[in-house]
Amino acid sequence: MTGFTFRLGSRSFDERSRLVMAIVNRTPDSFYDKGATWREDAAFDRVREVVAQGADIVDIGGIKAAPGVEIGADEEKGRVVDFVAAVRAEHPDLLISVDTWRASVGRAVLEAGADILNDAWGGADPGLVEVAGEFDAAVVCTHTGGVTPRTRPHRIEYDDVVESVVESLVAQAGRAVSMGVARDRVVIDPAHDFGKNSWHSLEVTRRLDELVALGWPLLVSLSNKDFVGEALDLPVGERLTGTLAATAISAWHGAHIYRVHEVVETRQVLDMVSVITGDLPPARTARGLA
Amino acid sequence: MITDVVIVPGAPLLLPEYQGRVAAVPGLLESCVGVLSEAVGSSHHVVVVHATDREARSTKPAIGLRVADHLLAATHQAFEVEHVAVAWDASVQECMTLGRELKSGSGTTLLVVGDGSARRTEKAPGHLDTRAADVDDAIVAAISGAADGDLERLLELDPEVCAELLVAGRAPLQVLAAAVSSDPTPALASADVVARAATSAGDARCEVVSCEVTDPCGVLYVVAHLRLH
Repeated sequence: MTGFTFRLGSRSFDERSRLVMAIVNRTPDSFYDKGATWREDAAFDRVREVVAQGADIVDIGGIKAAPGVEIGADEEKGRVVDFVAAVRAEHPDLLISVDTWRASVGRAVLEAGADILNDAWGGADPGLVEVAGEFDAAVVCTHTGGVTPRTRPHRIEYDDVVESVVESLVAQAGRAVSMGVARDRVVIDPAHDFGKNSWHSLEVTRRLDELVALGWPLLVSLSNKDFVGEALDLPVGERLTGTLAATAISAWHGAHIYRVHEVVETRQVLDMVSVITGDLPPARTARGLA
Repeated sequence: MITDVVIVPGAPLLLPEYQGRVAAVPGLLESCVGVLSEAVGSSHHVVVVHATDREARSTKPAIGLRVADHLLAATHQAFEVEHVAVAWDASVQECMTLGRELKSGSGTTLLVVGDGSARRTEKAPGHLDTRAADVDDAIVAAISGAADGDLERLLELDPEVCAELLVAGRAPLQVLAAAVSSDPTPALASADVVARAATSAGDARCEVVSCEVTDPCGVLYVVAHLRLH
């Protein structure tokens, strides 16, 4: 822990924070929910549900990460911009992130009330951080090994994956600041599974403390991913326990933001780790003390 | 002279170092501090009577002493504090001697840290002992009947039975009984105490200002304020 604070929207957090970012897909084909929140009313219900469950942030995405039908910028905007505006109207204090790599989409959602641009494809559109800076928004910088958006890793190797992650994220974070993003509104994410085989994602998890030590708020996106599935030889739908184990390890290392499908379980794991580390008092203690 | 007596539980869950995000027993701390603040309003001198820990496994001061100090600090009032420790398993005679020897200047508040049985329910720290209810009832009756001279009945509490029932407050309560007794030489706990109390015309000097009794964790907690005239 390096003792810093960071800001998302109008809120400020310290380095001991462990925040839940709930995934809300405006897609018909995402790998985990398979279009469960494609319909707008279902997506609204999902937002209400995760807010009630204690999510700190929602991350709204209009394009699934995996390869598939090409979605143009206009189509992407059609999926997310009005939805962001409506979520903002219903939840004035909720932190809203949008998962996009396109600057034009970023601009539209920030105008609609979003707080965070989650650049899940590692700066593929260099204009995205400029937009974030212009709106005093937060931005998530991710490591993808330089791959093209919506491609799977194929025979990628690194001399040292963590070194590559550090080098890329420090460069992206520095560029974001130089483009006008506030220093305390830059978040870094090693991006498990993106440009990485499972060995890479496991090593990043094992050595996450090296990323925490960089002094930027650290986001991890572990939820039900292939590296969990391959670690346990389990298909999508049976990866929650593995996800939570990786969540606990990441929390112990000091990661700050957890992008997840399951809010309740994640919140419990994060609170449990925070209580063990001493960053949070237990909820209520009477055992042996009555 | 002793003008006020306050009785509070010696539960470590009242201590700041054991506070979770919400209080284990909502309102208990506030109740104790409220009663104590009222009692010490005109006091210059507080005498704390607490027991030593039954199972001391550290070099920390006794839990009862720490609870008392925490509650006193929470009143944000200024007074001299004197601590009197009594062994948790002291004999009745030892408690009486200690009580009679308590020095009290003008306007002294006696803060007695002690509670009843920790064996009141199956979930209680000491599990259920069916004898606990009767002993606790006797403690509560003695305190709530202080105006009728019943405090001396605390001297009837049997040390061995109380030890078995995990009555942590037995010794401090007996020190209290001796300290405020109108009889300069209270009798040993025996049948004649009962006989004498039964024929007592009451203790006009003592007023029960408040007496709250709870057992949220299977332990008898008494928060009481007695005023002596």
